[in-house]
Formats: sequence, C-alpha cells, structure tokens
Amino acid sequence: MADRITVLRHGKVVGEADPSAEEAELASLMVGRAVTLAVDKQPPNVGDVVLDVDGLTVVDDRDYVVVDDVSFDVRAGEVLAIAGVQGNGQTEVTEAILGLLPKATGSVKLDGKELLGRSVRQVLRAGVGFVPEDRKVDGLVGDFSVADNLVLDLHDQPPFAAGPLFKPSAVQANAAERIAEFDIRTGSAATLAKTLSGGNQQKVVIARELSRPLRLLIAAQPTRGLDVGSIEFVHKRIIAERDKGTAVLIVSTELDEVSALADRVLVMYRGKVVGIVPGDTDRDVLGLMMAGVPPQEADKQAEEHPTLIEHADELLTKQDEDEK
Amino acid sequence: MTDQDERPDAQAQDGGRDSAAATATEPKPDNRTEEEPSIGQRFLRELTTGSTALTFLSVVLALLIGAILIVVSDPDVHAAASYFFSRPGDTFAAAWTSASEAYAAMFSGAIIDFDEYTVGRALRPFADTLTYATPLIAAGLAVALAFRTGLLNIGAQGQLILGAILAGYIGFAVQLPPVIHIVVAMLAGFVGGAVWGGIAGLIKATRGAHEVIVTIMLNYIALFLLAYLLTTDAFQREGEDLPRSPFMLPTAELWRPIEGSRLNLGLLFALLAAVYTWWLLNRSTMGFRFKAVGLNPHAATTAGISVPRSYTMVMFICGGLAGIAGATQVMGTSLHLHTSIAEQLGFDAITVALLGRSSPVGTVLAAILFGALRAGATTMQAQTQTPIDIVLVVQALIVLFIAAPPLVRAVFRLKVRATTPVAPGSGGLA
Repeated sequence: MADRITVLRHGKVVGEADPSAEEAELASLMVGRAVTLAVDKQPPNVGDVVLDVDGLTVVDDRDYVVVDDVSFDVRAGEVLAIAGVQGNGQTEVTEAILGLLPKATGSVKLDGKELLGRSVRQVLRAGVGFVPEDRKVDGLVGDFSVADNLVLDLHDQPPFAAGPLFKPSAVQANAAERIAEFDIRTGSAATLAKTLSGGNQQKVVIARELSRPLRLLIAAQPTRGLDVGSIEFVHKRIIAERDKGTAVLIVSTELDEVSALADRVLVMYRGKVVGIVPGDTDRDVLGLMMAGVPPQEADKQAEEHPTLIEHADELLTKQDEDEK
Repeated sequence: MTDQDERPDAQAQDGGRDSAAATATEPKPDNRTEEEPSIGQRFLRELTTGSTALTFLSVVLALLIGAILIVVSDPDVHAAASYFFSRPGDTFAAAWTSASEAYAAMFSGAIIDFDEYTVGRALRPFADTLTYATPLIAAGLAVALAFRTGLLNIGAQGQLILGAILAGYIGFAVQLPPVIHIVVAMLAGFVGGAVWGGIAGLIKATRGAHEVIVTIMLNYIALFLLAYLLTTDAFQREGEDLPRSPFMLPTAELWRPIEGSRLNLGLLFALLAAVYTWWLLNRSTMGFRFKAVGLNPHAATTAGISVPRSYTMVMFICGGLAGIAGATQVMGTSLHLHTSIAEQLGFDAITVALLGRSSPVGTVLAAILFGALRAGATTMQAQTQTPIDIVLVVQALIVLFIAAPPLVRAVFRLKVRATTPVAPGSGGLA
C-alpha cells in the first residue's frame, strides 16, 4: 500500500526500503538482525493422549450452536493448532476447556479426568495453562503491577501465600526472576501492566502461564498484534514447552503461525471440525479447508489450482447459496 | 498510549505475512479491545487513580468558594456594600472580617480553642472532631472497600442501622461482664451489618441485580425495621411512648477518656477497622482477589478467581465495617437507640470514601476532615451567625471537584502529567 517505507527503531530512522522489498528484509530492518519467521523445531516426541475432547458442543447466549460436536485429542509433546477464520468456534473451544462456559456439553478429559463442570480454578490447578485471546481484557489486570500480574492465578499458592496471608516479598522475587527469564521490557516490577507494549504484555501473560508445571498449554492467538521480534520469542517458548512433554493447543487465524508451530492442524468451520491434517499441509489446502471444503476435496482442488484464495471465496459464497 | 504502541506492530505483522485469507478476514485487534468504558467505570477509575494533590486542591477550592458564600450572606458586608462606591475599602474589610472570623470560629470549634487556659480544655474541640469522625471512619471504609472491588455500596446507611440495632440490643438487654460485654456487642454490630451487606452481595452475585438498587432498598427496610422495633416492648424504654430504647448498661458503654467530651473508645475500634482493611487489601490473598475483580473482572475470572464469591464476601465485610460504625454510635455516642441514630452517616460515608480515594489511610483522614467541618460548623454558627448549611455546601463542593479533576486543574493551571510512561524498547526484542 505504501509508496515508500521508512523503518524506525528505538526512535531512530534505521533504514528505508522499497515497497517491493521482501518481508524478511523489512523484518530484519525492524528488529536489527535477520529474523527467521519459520520456527526452528525438531520433529515432535509424541507421548500419551493428554487432552481428550469428545462431542464438545457449546450453545451461546442467543441459543446459537457455536461449537458443534467437536472431537479431537492432543498428545504429550505435540502441538495441535486449531485453524480457521475468526469466529468459527475456536475461541469457544478453548473457553469451554477452561471452564468459562458452563453451558458446554460433551466430554473434556485431561489425563482421563473429566474437566467439564469444574471451576476455572480447578482446571488451572489440574495443570492447564491458558493464554487468552485478548490479553488486555482477559489476560492482564491493566492497573496491577507487572509483579502482581505475574502471580494472578498463583496468588493463593505457596510461596506467594501462606493460608490467607499474601506475601509481597515472594511476589517481588518471582517478578525479578521472570522479567529476566522472559526479557520483559519494563521500567520496574512495580510498573503498571497497561503501560507496557503489546509484546511485553503478552510476555507477562506467557511468563505467568509457563511458570508452573503444566500438562496442557492452551494459547489462543498467542502473537496477535505483536512485533516480529516478540512473535519469534513467543513461538520459541511455545516449542520449548512442547519439547518438555507438555501437550500444546494453539488457536490461530494466522496460517503462517499455524504452519510454523503445528504438528497437526485441526481446521474449524462454522463450529464443526472440517478435518485434522498434518502440520506440513500445503497452505492452499488449509485455506480451502478454512472455507469449509473437506480435506480430500481440498487436496484435489489445490493441486488443480495452485493459488486458490479467490477460488475459496467463490466456493464459500456458492456453499452459502446452496444452504439457502 | 498502548494504542499507538501497537499500530506499528500490527503493520509489521501484516507486512510479514502473506496469507491473504487469514489477514483479510481477521478483525483488527485494537478495535476489539478498545471498548469505550462506561460512565460508571470511568467514574470509578477517576476515584481510585486521582492524585493526592488534586484532592488537596479540591478541598482548598471548596473552602474558598465557601468563603465567598459566607461573605455574600453576611449582613455586615451588605451594609458596607451599600456605600461601596464612596468607600470601597469598607466592603473589602468587612468581607475579610466576615470570612476570616467564620473560618477562625470553625477552627476553634474543630481543632484548638486558644481562649481556653488548660491544654485539656483547649483541645476539647479536636476531641469533638474525632467523635464525629469515629463512625465516618468505619462507614467510609465500608464504602471504600466496596469501591475497590468495583461495587458502589450505597447501603452503608442500612448496614449501620442493623449494626446499631444488634449492638444496641446486646448493650441494653443482655447482662455480661465488663470488657466481654463490649466485645460481644461490637461483634453483634459487625454481624448485623455484615448480614445486611451480605444480602446485597449475594443477590448481586447470584442474580446479577445491581448493587446500587438493592442497597438503596435495604436502606429503607433497615430504617423502617428500626422504627418498628422501637415500638415493640423488647426495644422501647419502659413506661414511655417515645420511640427510643433504654440506655446502655454501664458494662456496654464505651469508655470516655476526656471529661466533658463524648470522644470514646469507639475511635479505637474504627481505627482497628482501618488497620484491618489496609491489611486485607495489601497483605491478604482475599484482598488481592477483591482488587483484581474490581479492576478487571474478566481477567480475574480467567485467572480462576470467582467474581460472584468475591462480590458476596466483600459486601459481607463492608456491611460488617458499617455495622461497627453503628455499634460505636449506639454504645459510645448516643448511648441508646433512637430512630435517627444513623443520622446521614451512611451517605456522608460515600463522600468520605470518595475524598479518601478509597484507600484506608485516605478514608481515615477524610473522615477526620469531615468530623472537623461538622464540629467547627456548630461553633461557627454560634459565634458568627454564619449559617451551618455553608458546611454542607463545602462538603458537596469537595465531592464535585474531586469528580471533575479537569476543573481543578484548570483553576490552578496544572498541567496534565502523563500518567503512563512508556517503557523503553516497546518491542522488547530478544
């Protein structure tokens, strides 16, 4: 869209680029070094089934079925990404697992134990880490300090609490540790979380969720609105968590992110599972599946038409008409 | 601020991605998160984040306007103003005398009376101030703590009445040994208020009814419950038709250390309540949850904090604090129950919590200021014939200025300081 591109970093002009420049070139100008948009990761070392979702159905406040009989599992040490166009039920799947949607039916088992019907607190205690889609609304208390936000879901656990007593000193010590570990750029641990940049806010959320032993990590749109450097950092941490043997469930509308992280991809369309395909599936195929085309057919069509984004739109409108 | 921070990030992301299908359909993240806060939320935020300096200036400004009102309503000034153009100096002199004498009288009625010769007698006005401040401290905390949890507790009045009823009944009807009697009656006051507050919290938590409506209704119920009880044999003074209870038994009377002053041990209980509230907010896990719920109930829920449970608990505790205010009123100040035992305390408590920025320390200081205004007003009226209503106007103006910080800033030509410093290295690149 731009006629000329000027790149600013730390308040200084660091370079200019032509609009035709490759995105990798722009990215490296912005972060000051070459950036790998793809994540460097080993093949997964897959273990037992950790999360077993069976027939999950969610009805929203307007009695509209937003998640329709969804079944899948996530194994230890693998990343399952839920892809799909925003608003096709992915968010609700994660919220139902966490226990935020009391109207969810079906079965969600973590290590064989039923999670549905338990409180959010109990689900978190069972070893689920949750990075919400909207960090400002659901992830952080903006008017709390960074230190307090880092213990938001751990504040009543030792060492941060002894019975009803809250221990600010332990919270401070924890904050210093996490800020260093996750390279959170903040004035101090007492800085209000709302004053941090989006990338650093997200690091606070991720640092908090990864600071306790997890069986399952759920991350919804983990890099939305972040700069390139932060995206890379977040991706690395997610893969590192996977390699520790944690089951990881990612929700992303970004095909790049899905391709970079996923060992398997589950595509959702209108609350239903279109299909579960390997992580290295061609993007054209994923794009078609996101428009509701079943995997085999998507495979075939993608072969016939190498770039199919426009075609997918056509298919989508046609399908809408068919349903009418 | 954050809005601006994120914009280049979002561009970078779009530039770095080629999946047209995904980016074209994805809504811009900023549009989703930047919801316009409701008036109530903005009001609450203004209350809890305003600076101490602004609070102080609000008080100064209110007193200045109060001075103008004193001057305008003074007949001496009117007389001098009638020949303003021949001798304008007289008008200004009369105005100065009028305002300064009124405030001097207020000071001598509220803090120190220099006309008295012994220290004890000279300081008696301050004791009066503290007497008035005692119930305001406890009831103010009841409002402040609810504010911090995101609730507007308009029901301190009703909670205070219930506290007074229970504490009063224990005080005049039950025979107990000295110290124990006071402790039991005080606890009864706490329980009475706590139940009344807890009802509002429970209804809010389970049915979503707005706490303002519920607490206002409970105020009426409490008021008429008291009026009814004072007509029953159990509460009414024997052989009388007036709606008032017997006096407290001597064992339930709160000790008055200064002879001739009504200042009593209730102050100690009010200050203990303030210490407890401070501890709750800063050193307890429950207070941490209250604050999280008050500042962002969504994030609190996602972090496993039960918002309904917090609402119920906090209203229970707030009610208890107001109940203590009621107990000190009946056991320390009036020494018997009557229909106007709560005066306007529950409503003044809202102003006090506002002025104190919803912090325990601020609430104590604000309550003392209001106590001083109240104690001084009586002396002011007696000595200078300045109407006592001026003080109510000053109180109202304080609230007005605190709720409208831009006005105070404009008057004192304060610059708006950036309250949100941007952390260096907004991207936080690894």
